[in-house]
Amino acid sequence: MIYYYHCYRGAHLSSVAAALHLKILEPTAGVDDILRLEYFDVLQNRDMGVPVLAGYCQGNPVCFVGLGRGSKIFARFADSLTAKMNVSLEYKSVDCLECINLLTRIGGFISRFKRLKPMGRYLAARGVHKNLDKIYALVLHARGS
Amino acid sequence: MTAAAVHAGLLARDKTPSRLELVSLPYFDAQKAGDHGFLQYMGKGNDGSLIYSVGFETASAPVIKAAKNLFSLGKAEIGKVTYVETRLVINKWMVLGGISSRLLGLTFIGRPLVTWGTQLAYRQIVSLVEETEAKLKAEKRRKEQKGQ
Repeated sequence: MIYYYHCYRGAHLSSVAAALHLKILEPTAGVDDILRLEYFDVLQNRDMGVPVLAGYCQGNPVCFVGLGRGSKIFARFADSLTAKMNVSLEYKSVDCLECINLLTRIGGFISRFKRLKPMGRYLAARGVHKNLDKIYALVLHARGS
Repeated sequence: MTAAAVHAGLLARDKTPSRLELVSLPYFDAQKAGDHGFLQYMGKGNDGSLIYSVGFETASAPVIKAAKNLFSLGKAEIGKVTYVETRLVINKWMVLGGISSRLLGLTFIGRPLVTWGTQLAYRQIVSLVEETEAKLKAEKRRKEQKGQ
C-alpha cells in the first residue's frame, strides 16, 4: 500500500500529515515542533507533481506531494486509470486540502517571498497547528485505525 | 474531447463539423467539475489504440506527473500511455463558453459560444491529432527497427 498525501504545494498540510502518519510528529505537537519538521515549507511550485518519500510505515511507502488545483482531480484520475488499464496497485490518496484555513493560506503565500519567509513559515505553522486534530483524523482514517 | 473524437474517427478531418455534429458527440459540453479526472472512452484509433478524453482544468502537468510517479513507485505495469495536452489549441470563445455553460449553468449562452470556438479551432485540433499520430508511428517504427 502506498500512502499519497497531497495538498496545493506539498509544503505544509501534506508534509505534516505524512509526519503524523510516520509518528515523526505527535498529534499533541506544538507550533515549534511543526516548524522543526524537515520538509515543512520546503517544496515549491516547481516541485508540484513530484512526490517526496517521507518514510515507510510497516513497509508501506508514505509520500506527500503538491498537486496545485488538481488535488480533487488526481484521485479520480488515478482511480480511473488503474481501473481502465487493469492495473493492480494498492494506494490511498488523501486530499489534505480540506484541512486548510485562512492562516495557512496567508502563511503559505507570504513564505514564497524571500524576505518574508520566516513570518510566512510561522503563520503557516500556526494555521496547521490550529487544524492538527483534523489532519490527524485524516491520517487515522487513511491508516484505517 | 473534440481532439479525441477526431482521433477516434467520430468527426471528419477534412471539413469543419456543424454545430449539430459537435453537440451530438458523447460528453460534448456535458462535464461538470466533479467529472474532471475521469477517463472517458471515445473509441479506437487507426492503429487499434484506445482513445480517451479527460478534463484536468489547469492542473494537467502536476496531476499527470504525480500519477506517473505513483505508478513507478508501485512498480505497476501500466502499458504505453500517451498524454496529449490540448490546452494549446483552446481559444477565448471556448473558455468563455465553457465558463458560461458549465460553471454558471448558462447553457443557452455558453454552448453556442463553445461550439463556435471549437469550429474556429478545428484545423488546429486536427493538426494536433495528426502530429500525435505521426509521433506514435515514428516511435513504433523506431522500436521495430531496434527489434530487428
